[in-house]
Amino acid sequence: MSKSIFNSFYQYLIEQYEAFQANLQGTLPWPDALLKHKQQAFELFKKQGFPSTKQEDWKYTNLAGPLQQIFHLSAGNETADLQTALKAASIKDVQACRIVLLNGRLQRAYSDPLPEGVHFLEGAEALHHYYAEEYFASLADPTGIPLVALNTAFVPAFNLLHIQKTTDRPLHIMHFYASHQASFLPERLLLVTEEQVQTQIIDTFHQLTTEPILINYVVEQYLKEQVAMDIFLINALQPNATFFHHSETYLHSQSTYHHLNFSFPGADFIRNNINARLQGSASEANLWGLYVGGGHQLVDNHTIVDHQQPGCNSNEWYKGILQDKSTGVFNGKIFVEKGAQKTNAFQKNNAILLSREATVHAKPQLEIFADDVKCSHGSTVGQMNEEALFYLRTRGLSELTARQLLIEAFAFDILSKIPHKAVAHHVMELLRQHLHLESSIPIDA
Amino acid sequence: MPTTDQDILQKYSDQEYEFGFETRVEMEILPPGLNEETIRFISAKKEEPEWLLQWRLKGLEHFRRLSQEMPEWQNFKLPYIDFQAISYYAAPKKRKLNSLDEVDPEILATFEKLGIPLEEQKVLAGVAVDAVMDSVSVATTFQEKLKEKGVIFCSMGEAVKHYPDLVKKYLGTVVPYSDNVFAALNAAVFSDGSFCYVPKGVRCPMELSTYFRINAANTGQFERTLIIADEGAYVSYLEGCTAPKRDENQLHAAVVELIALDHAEIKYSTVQNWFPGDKNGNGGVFNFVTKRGICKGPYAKISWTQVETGSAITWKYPSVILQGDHSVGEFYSVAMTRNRQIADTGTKMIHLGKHTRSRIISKGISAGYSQNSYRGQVRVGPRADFARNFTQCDSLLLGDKCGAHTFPYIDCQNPTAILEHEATTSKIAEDQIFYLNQRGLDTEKAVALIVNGYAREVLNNLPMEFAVEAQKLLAISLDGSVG
Repeated sequence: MSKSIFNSFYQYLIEQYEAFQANLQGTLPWPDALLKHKQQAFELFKKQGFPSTKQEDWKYTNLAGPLQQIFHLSAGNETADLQTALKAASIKDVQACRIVLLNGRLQRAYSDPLPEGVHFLEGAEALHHYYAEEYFASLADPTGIPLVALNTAFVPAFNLLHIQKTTDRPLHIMHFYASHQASFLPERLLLVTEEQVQTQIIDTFHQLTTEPILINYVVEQYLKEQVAMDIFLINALQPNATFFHHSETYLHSQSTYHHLNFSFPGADFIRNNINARLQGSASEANLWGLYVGGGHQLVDNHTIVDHQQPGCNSNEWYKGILQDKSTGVFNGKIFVEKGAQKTNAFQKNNAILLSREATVHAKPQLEIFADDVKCSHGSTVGQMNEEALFYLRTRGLSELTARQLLIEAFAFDILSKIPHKAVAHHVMELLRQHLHLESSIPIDA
Repeated sequence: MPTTDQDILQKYSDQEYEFGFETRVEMEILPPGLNEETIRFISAKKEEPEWLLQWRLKGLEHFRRLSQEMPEWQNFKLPYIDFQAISYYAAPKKRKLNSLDEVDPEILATFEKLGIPLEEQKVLAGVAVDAVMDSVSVATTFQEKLKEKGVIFCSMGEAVKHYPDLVKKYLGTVVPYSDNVFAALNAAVFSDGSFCYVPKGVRCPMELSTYFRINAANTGQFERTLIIADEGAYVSYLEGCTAPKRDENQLHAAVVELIALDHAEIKYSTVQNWFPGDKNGNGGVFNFVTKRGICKGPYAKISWTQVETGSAITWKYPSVILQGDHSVGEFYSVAMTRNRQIADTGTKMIHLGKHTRSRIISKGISAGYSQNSYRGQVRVGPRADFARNFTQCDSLLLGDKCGAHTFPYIDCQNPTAILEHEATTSKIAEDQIFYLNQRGLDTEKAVALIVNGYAREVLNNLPMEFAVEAQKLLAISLDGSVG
């Protein structure tokens, strides 16, 4: 078996590239410096194709299935009436500043006015921004990551979110996707936060189509000194969505980064690469995640915490609840590079299997090249504790309520990390909505 | 006495290899090269039956296929190995020995230097040694006593001659010749090794032990060990390895197969101290070994214990397939690397039967410029109800130029399984040293004490004879840094 997949979708993309580029040059010409990245990324993708399960990072995540059909390159002119959708997608009581995107393009008419010091640039404005040349494709290096190469090559434009001042309410980026045929929807964001900024960002994803879509969302984030940033990624997409997300974050000294990653049953295929590079001393990265799998879903979270400088801390905790025939994959890497002394790096990963057909693959991984460090990881796979259940039953709770309580307690470790009450409430609602414990009860000896 | 970390590390990393001496015995060596002729030669030399020759040839076929693309997943760069430059057969010329006295005194002297009680055995009793020096079993002792109980313990060569049915039934059933490139090579050219069969209900009256030693230059050692514990049997097997000092890398591609039937138990202990290369990373043994056991019947148990201090590269994963219900697999390991040594070791526990249990305790110690990796897999199949695993892998770093890595794979397809994994990486805490200093121990002794305590959980699982040696080995390895 080969290390790559060169299927008909791959052929389609390779054939379409020139026409796509020519069209792009006609409508939205890219500056040469960025175009160079695009060209290189295309060459990479052309050579590598899609990764097969022979590649270590894709060992348990077989792309052959989800990518067996052709996802068409979008002409980029879909419109949709977002009014009703927007209402349904907003999070209650959160009072966020909404930034509405349709297939990755800003919809100013539906978006709230941005707070002072926050700039959301698109199209030519983003392409010609001085940060674009500095950071585009250099934070998220496409080498060795085929789906980042794919995104870099095929993304028609990217958005640039530049935050210069502390925001007093969260920015809610709402990603809507519409399409009248099976579509490939690459989307990209470059996010730069200036010194001493504190900000919170919510990312939610919404489908306005029942056509199969392949979302490829790449985020490059650059946190300057003493920044504090929280990201809440909430994925409740519908079936027929294949979701690939790559987030690459660089932290400078004394910056703090919280990334909270929630996914729920729906999208057939979810792959998140969440990477944090601690490039400045005394910076801190915290990656928390809760995933609930259902149906035939595959949820794959790959994370990298890369300690490059001394005195940094990182904490990571991913929890998974797997129902039905779902598969969960967790791969957490911690690197401590030479000279990154006084590092504290902790990682935990727990999974609960609620069904006979559910599967989990976990690979917590440490690679350490410095000695004065404290690093640990823990990983468990199991199910609900029968004794705890029994205890709750003796207190008069029904089997179902007892199970619900235990699962919510399991999820609580992650939910309690959400500093924003309304967001926490929203996620809890999603959790309750997607758990169907009644079908999970009989696991007998 | 060195006091600063720097001194300690310096002295420690300059440590010479103690067992680097060479026995000058007349050897019969096959010219380097690997082809069908080589295999026919080995097979003919050993007077093997036709089926075994065919089996070897199949191994060669798979080796040719697999060696087209050498593995790349490991956490080090596999050095180029010219398989055609290796001589695949070397045996001391004098044969036909009737008693210990006829063994070449030089060989006996070698073993004495290693401290194997081959001579003292008669007094010490309790250890039957099947000493293997470059492929051919030189002396086998305690045969008589074992025979009384019906235990078969002999060289692979003899087993093929005297117990062909048993060998044919089990050879290659746990590690097939198509398993991996080095197992295929071993299947094609395996020279000798140990064979052990413990009949139904017999508890082997003594610890069985072999010593492997690579002697002649440019000869790889490809021994093959097959241990079968029949229903209700018990056997404890010790394997120790040392190799003399050589400048060229030597390949060691052994295969070990363990088969435990219903209610049987096999305990396999290894102390590996092959030549690790000099402090610049020149020379040293490549220890690429495939070890695997299968718990075939219910309530079977296989336990691997290993202390790895030698070899330029150690690359092995003693594994257990837990097929029988209620079977148990255990893996205890201490891997110590220094200078430019590389270790990529760990285990696989494959749970297939119901109520199967496994336990993994791995302790890595890295110093100098070495890289020490734990790689392990715990897999629970869909039918392995109520499987249970506990894994602990800790790494200790001595010095800031070395690396410690963990790559655990946890794959679970059963909702009733409970799997736990924990790993830590750290250096020896200043406050621990300080505390021991305060109690009157100098820093070296304090480090020794802490390291010993750190590895204790594993060392405690070694049989007495080995525990002493292993502790000595660790101490030698830590010498200079800890005394």
